[in-house]
Amino acid sequence: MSKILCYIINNEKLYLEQILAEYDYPILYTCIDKNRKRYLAMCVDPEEGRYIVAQTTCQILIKMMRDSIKMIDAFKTAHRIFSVISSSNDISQDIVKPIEFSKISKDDLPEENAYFELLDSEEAIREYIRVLEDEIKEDDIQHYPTFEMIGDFVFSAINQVRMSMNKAYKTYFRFQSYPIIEKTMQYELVDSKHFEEELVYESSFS
Amino acid sequence: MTEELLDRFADVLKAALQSQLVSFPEDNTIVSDFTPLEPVYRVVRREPNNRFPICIDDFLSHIERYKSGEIIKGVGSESERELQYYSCSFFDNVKSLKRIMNLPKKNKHIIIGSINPENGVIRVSQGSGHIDLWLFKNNMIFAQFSYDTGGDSL
Repeated sequence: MSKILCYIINNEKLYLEQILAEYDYPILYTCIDKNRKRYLAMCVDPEEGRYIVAQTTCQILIKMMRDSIKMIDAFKTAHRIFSVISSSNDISQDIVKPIEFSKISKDDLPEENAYFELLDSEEAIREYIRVLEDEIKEDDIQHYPTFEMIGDFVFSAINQVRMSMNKAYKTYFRFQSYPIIEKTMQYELVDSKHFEEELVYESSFS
Repeated sequence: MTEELLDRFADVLKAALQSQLVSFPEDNTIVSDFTPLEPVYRVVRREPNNRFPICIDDFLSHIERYKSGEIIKGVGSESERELQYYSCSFFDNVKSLKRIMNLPKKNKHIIIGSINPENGVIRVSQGSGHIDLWLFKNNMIFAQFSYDTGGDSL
């Protein structure tokens, strides 16, 4: 993660990840927070310190850079969009406000029909696309169950069934064995009475 | 770097070099003796219906344009220590400017012209077509440029 802190939005620090368009200053770039959420940031007016920051996804960024969607669509499809007015020398004092896409002035957005149009020579951005693609693959792998997870699930399911059957069997057995228990208790009482009588009888001879 | 060359740079760059805030790399990527480059393109801003003549203010570096301590997002607070922010940008092809032209801020215009060793020292980024020019002071580079009227070239 880069050390260049760009924004603090909802207490999340957004760091510069990749510059996508730059002239004398970065105009379009991506940011990343500690939870690896991605943001597409755009300098609207450097003199006025106005920026638009859109929380987006790796998939949308790749689509934009690969020209599957227009640049403006990356903002249109964003989860959340923020308008930022820079405080010139203290990022924590920036004025950050959520804004709806429909409320953003047309002048503050990319041209309506403009695509990113990645050039063959932009190797750094091509490498960045590969990094994002790898991250998506890793996320997919993490979401697919592993053999270990399947094993755990099957073992847990079998265990649940076994415990349920055991409980049902015990309940059934207990219900069925009540008369036997009662009889056994009666025998035990009789036996103990008989045993006491025997003791009295034996003691009379001693 | 020779004293003679140092004296030719704009004051802000000269001061930064002298105080060792920045330094030119020793890998020969920055050259002072080069074949003039033409055409080269640069973007300038003009308010609508106010296309006044190209002037030296159109060739200010990032450091010269923005006040010290002012944070430009994505540049960081240490921009004074980065040599690239003392240069002004050009492209050797107009296609590289297309994306920039499609992004805010509006009212951007392309100017077209040439640069030569009398203007300053350059670094050409292989592949991207981007050229950094560290301009000499009291330079008349603006006289070498005109508005690109061939808007269709984009």
